[in-house]
Amino acid sequence: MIEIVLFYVGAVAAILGAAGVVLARTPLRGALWLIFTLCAVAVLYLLLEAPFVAAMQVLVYAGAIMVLFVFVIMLLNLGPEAGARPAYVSVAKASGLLACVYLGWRLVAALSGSGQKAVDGSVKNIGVLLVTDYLFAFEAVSVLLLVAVVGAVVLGLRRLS
Amino acid sequence: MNILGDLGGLSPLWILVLTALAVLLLTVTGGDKRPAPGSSTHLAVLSLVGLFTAGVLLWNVEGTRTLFSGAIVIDGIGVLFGLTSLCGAFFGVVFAAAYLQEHGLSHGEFFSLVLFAAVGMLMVALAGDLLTLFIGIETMSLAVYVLAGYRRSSRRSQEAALKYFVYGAFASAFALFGIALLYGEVGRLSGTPALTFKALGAAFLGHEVSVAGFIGVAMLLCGLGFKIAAVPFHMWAPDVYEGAPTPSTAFMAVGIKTAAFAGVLRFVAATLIAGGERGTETAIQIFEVLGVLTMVLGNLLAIRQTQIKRMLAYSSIAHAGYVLVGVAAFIAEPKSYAVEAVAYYLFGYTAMTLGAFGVVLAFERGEDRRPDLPIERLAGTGHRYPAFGLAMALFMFSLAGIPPTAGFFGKLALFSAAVAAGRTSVVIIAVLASAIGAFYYLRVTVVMYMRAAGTEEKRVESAWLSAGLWLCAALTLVFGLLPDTYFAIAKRLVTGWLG
Amino acid sequence: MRALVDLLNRSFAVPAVYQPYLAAGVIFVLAFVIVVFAAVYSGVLIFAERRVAGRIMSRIGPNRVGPHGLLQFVADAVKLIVKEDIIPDASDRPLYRFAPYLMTMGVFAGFVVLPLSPHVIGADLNIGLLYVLAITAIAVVGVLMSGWASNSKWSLFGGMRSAAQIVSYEIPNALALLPGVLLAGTLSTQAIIRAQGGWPWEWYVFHSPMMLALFVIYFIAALAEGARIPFDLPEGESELVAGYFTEYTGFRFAAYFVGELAHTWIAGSLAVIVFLGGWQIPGVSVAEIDAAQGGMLWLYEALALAIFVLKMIFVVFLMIQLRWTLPRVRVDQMMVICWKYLLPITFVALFLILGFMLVWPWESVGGLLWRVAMTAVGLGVVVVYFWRVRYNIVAARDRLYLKFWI
Repeated sequence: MIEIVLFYVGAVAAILGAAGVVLARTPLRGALWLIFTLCAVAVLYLLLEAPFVAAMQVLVYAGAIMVLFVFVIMLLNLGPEAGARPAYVSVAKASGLLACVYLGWRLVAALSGSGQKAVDGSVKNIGVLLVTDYLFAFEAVSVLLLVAVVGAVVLGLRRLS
Repeated sequence: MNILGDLGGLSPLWILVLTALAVLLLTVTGGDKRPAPGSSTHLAVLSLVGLFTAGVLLWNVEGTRTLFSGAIVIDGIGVLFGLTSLCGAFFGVVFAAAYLQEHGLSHGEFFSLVLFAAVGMLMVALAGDLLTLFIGIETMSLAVYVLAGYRRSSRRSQEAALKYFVYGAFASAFALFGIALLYGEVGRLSGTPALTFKALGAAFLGHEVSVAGFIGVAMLLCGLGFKIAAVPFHMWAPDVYEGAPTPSTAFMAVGIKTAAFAGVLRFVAATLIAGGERGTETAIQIFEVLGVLTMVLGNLLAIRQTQIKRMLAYSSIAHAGYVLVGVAAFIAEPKSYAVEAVAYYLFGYTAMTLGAFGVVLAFERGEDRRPDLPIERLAGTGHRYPAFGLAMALFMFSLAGIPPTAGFFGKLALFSAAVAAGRTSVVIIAVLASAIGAFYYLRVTVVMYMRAAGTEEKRVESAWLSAGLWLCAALTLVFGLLPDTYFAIAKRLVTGWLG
Repeated sequence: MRALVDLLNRSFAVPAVYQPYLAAGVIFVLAFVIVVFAAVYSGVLIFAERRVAGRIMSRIGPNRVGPHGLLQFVADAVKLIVKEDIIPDASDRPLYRFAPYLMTMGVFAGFVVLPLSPHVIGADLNIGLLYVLAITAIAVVGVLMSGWASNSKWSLFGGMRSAAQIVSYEIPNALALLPGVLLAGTLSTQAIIRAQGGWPWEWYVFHSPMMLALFVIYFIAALAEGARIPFDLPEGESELVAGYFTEYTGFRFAAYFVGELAHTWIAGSLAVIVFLGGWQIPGVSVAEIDAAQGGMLWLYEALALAIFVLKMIFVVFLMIQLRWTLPRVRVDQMMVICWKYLLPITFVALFLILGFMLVWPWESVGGLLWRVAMTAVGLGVVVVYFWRVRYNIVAARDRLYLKFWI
C-alpha cells in the first residue's frame, strides 16, 4: 500500500520533472528540473530494493554531475534562448511527443502485470557482481574514463598549437 | 573464472591500452614545445608496432573463446572485423604522422587517442554482451569526438567535434535505453536478467517477445545506425567529416563504421535471427529500406557536393547503405556467405576510403591555411603528380565499383549474396545507385586529369604519406585481384559462428 | 524507526488498517524531532562559537541575554524571523524562495542515519554512510540555486566557488571514510561503530599510520565541505560580502545559517562514527549492551550518548578553534590542496591500508601492536595540542578564564 503510494508519487514527480527539463525556458531551470527528476528516479530505485543504486544516483548524478552542469551554465551565463525558431521545430516536437506517448503506452501495456521479482540490489551483491560477472565491464570502464580524461586535457589545454 | 587465463586471451586489447599509455607518457615527458620536424617519429613507430602486435595476436586466435563470463567472445567475426578496424587505425596513424607534422600539431595525444579508439573498436567487435558493446562504442566514440576537434585553432574542427559529440551522446542514450529494455525483457522471458548475446538469443528464440523487447532492439539499432551513418541518422556526417582534421575523418569513416557493423551483425544474429534460421520478413525489410534510403540519398547528395571531403562523407553514407543490404541478406539467409561479403566489403572500403582521404590530405598544406578543399583545386594534379593521380584514380574506381578493384568484388559479393537470398529487387536498386555513384567518383578523376590547372597546387611532402598511399593502393588492388584468398580465410574464420 | 513502530504496536493494539498511517506518523514525528534537534544544536553551536571566539580574541562575547548569554541565539532567531523578507526585483523568484530550504533539507536529511547511542538513531540504513554523503551533496544544489537566483555578482561567485569546492572535496571526503567501511565490512553507521571498541586502541583512527593521516584528511575535507574557515570562500566577506546569501534577509537568511551550522554536526559525527569509535563505552562490549535490560540498558544508553556527544564536542570545538586561528585560503590554493595533495595522498593511503589489512589483520598481534603504538602517537598529539594551547594563553598574558565552563 505505502509502496504503491510512494511509487506513484515518485513516478509522477519524475515525469513532471522530465517535462520541466524540456519545457524550461532558461537552461539553468532545465538543469534544476533534471536534478529533481534524478532524485525522483532514486526514489523508484529505493522501491525496487536497490538502495545502493539510489544513493549513487543522488550522490553522483544529482550531487556531482548536475552540479557541474549548473556550474558551467552559470559560468557561461546562459540566458533564455533568443530568436525565432523555424516552424519545423514545432512539428518535430509534436511528432516526437506523439511517438513518445505511443511508445510509452505500448511499453506500459507490454510490461504491466509481469510482476518480476527485483534482483538483489544490496551493496554486497553489487560488489560481488562487479568482480565476477561484470569484471570486464568494470575494468573496461576505466579505459573509457581514461579516454575521457585524455580528451578533456587535449581539448582544454591552454597551449594552442 | 580464470582471470589470468582470460587476460591472456585479451592480449590484443591490453597491449593496445599499454601502447596508448606509453605513447601518452612519452609525449608528456617530451616537454611542451612545438614538435620539431621528425621528433615524433618514435611515437608513430611505437603506435604502429602496438597496432601491428595486436593485429598479429588477434590473427593467431584459434577457435572460439568466451572470456570474462561471456563479456568477451573471441570468434571469427570478431577477428575479421577487429582486424579491419585495426587496419583503419594503422593507416590513421600513418596519415596522421604526415598531417600533424605538416600542420604543426602535437602528435602524442592524437596517436594515443587513435589507439584508445582502436581498443573501443576491438571491444565492440569482440563483444559478448550488450554492456561490452556499449562500453566499446563509448570508448571509440569519445576518442573520435576529441580527434574530430583536434585542430582547436580551427572553428570548423571545433564545430565538428561539438556536433558529433552532442548527436553521438544522444544516440548513445538511445542505445543505452534499448539495452535496459532488453535486459528487462530477457529477465522477463527467461527468469534471470542477463546481458550476454547468448542469453539474449536464447530468450528471443524460445519465447514470445513482447513489444518492450522489440522497442529495445529498435533503440539499440538506432544507436548503432548513428555510428554507421545510416540514413535517418546521417545528418551529422557531412559537417563532421568536413570539419574534422583529415586523418581523423579517414579513421572515423572506416574504423567506426566497421566496428559498428560488427556490433550490428552480432546483435542481429542474437535477436532477429532465430537460432540460425531465417529472420522475419519485417526485419529483413526494415534493413532493406534503411539500406536503399541510405545509398540512394547518399549518392544523390554526393553529386551536388563541391567540397571533396563532403563528397566523400556522402559517399561513405552510400557505402553504409550497400553494406546494410548485405546485413539484410544475412538476416534472410544466415547460413549463406553474406557475413563474409560484408566483412570483405568493409575491408575493401577501409583500404579505398583511407586512400582517398590520404590523397585529400596530400593537398592540404599547412601553409596556405585555406579551410576547405574544393574538388576544382585538384585540377591538373593528375599530370603534375602522376603517382598521386594514379592512386586517386584507383581509389575512385574502387569506390565506384569498377573492376578489378576490391570495391567491385565487394559489391559483387554483397549483391550476389542478396540475390542468393532472393532479394533481387533491392539489388536492382543498389546497382542503379552505384551507377549514380560512379558519376561523381569519376568526376574527380576527370578533374584531376582533364581540367586545366588554374593554380599550381603543391602537395605535402612526407614519406609517411607516400608509404601509406602505396600500401592502401596495394591493398585495394591485391584484394581486388585475389578476392578468393580473403573469402577462403573469412570462411574458415566465420564457419560455426552462428553455432 | 522500525523499533519505534514495533514499540507502539506492542503498547497499543493498532488495527492493520492503520499501520501505514502509524508508520507515516512515526516518520513525521521523527522528522520533526530531527529538524528541531538540528535547529537547537545550531543555536547552541552559534552561542558556543561566539563565546569561544571571544575567549580566543581575549574578549567576552555575548553574555547579556539569559544566563551567561545562553539565550542569545533565541534572541537572534526572533530578530531574524521578524525582519523584513526582501526578495530582489530582478531575482528568479521561485528559485530564490526555494533555495534556502533545499540547502537546509539536504543537511537535515543527513541526520537520519547518524546515531547517538546504540538505540537512538533515526533509521539504521544499510547504506547509511553513502546516504549521508549523497543527501548532503544535495545541499550544494541549494547553494548554487541561491547564487543564481539572487541575480547578483557576489552571489553568483559565491555559488560557483561553493560548487567547485564541494564537488572537489567530496572525493577526498568520501575516500577517507572508505577504509572504515572496508574494515567494518558494512556501510551502516551503527554496524561501523559496533565493529570498533570502547578503548582508543580499538578505534579505527589508530588502526595504522595511514588511518591517522586519513583522519586528518577527512577533517580538512569536512571543513571544506561545510565551507568552514579556512575554506569559507563561498561567503568570503572581504571580497564577496556574504557570498551566495548576500541578498537574503530574515528567515531565509537564518535557514542558511542553521544549515551551515548543522553541517558541523554531520561532519563531526561522521568523524566520530568512522574514526573515533562512536558511542562505544570503554570496558563494555557490544554484547553486554545488547544483553542489558531495564535500568542497565538506560544506564548504558545514557553513557553511550554522553561519550558520543563528548567526542562530537571535541571535534566540533576543533573546527571552531580553527575558525579563529587560520586565515582563509585563496581559490586556487583551495583547488590545489584538494586535487594535488589530498586526493593523491588519499589514494596512496587507501592502497597501503589494503596491504596493511592483509599483513596485519585487525585481531592479530601485529595489528594490536600497531594500534597501541598509534594510540600512543595520538595521545602525544593531544598532549602537544593542550600544551600549545596553554603556552599561547600564557604567552598572551591572558588568564585561563574557565568560570563559565565550570
